[in-house]
Amino acid sequence: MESIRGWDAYQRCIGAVRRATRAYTSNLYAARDQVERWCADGRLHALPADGAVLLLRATQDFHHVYHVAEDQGTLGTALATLPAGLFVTDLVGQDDDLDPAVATYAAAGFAPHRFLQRMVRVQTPGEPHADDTDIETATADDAPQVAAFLGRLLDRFAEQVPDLDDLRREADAGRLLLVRRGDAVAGMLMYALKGAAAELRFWHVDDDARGQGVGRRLMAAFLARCAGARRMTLWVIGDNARSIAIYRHYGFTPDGLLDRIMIRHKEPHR
Amino acid sequence: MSKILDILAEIRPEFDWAQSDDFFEDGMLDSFDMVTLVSDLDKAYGISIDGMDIVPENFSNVAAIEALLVRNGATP
Repeated sequence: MESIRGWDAYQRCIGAVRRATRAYTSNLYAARDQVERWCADGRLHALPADGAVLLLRATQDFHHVYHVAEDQGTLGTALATLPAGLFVTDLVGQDDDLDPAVATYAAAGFAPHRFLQRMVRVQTPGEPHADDTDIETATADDAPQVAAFLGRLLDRFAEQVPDLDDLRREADAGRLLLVRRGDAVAGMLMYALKGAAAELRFWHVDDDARGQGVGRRLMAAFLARCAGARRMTLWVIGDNARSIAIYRHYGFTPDGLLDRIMIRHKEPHR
Repeated sequence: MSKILDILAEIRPEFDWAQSDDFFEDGMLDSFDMVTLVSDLDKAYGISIDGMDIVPENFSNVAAIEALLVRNGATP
């Protein structure tokens, strides 16, 4: 396994796999700045194989697996070289298109975990939205408290749990919103905004604070602050009917993109 | 150029593609869209874009896409 030190090394690694036919397959969707952060943190490693490469991104207690392969055959051969340990993969695409990769990962010992679906809201820029000016904009100092709040709620395999650096960065950019009950976090919303596109990354309300308008206030603030965006996206746990209904209420609809999460836990031979 | 704009409009009809110089900076394309765009360009031009070329810089505006197509043996 070789450590990937930067963007150029990352590009060389991926470029070594030929994309000659429609059988070429990849689940790598990371933006450049994200890849560069992973490299800088020393968290990205490559496992090259014949006609394929696996990229492994380390988290606290498991690795995310990404692949680039000439076809499902070379992908399957590469997956067979994975060492013991806990590995999670995200296979993103339209439902039927994912079947071949899902089958290849299943043959390599990965089991389905959950799936996410993307929802989209298209709006006319400048649509009026009433802001909630009492919403607190978090600071970097709030990051540990927000991390603890999310740590209790999120599925660490299915949801890209933000680390402290990520939370501090978004707080500094004014994109991490809070509602408190005393000193505790009752609800939070974190978003990304780039040009004409906004992404609702996390929106959670503590169980004890439900039904008190906390979520509604956070959403109102998000819509107001992203009023200039033409397109908003979010990912939701695919079978969470309650959340899906709430997002539909706010004008989001599924766009057909799915993220199928699969997990393999292989014990070392004794 | 109009064929490329047509393909982009199929993916995201809500955007005015002719007005942007950087589709990623302007939030009009994300990495998932790039994969769809690669597939659509492959089909439209009868090519197979090289894996090394599937990076945001090559899809950031119409001129970049045209240059990419030429490098991959197509006439935009």
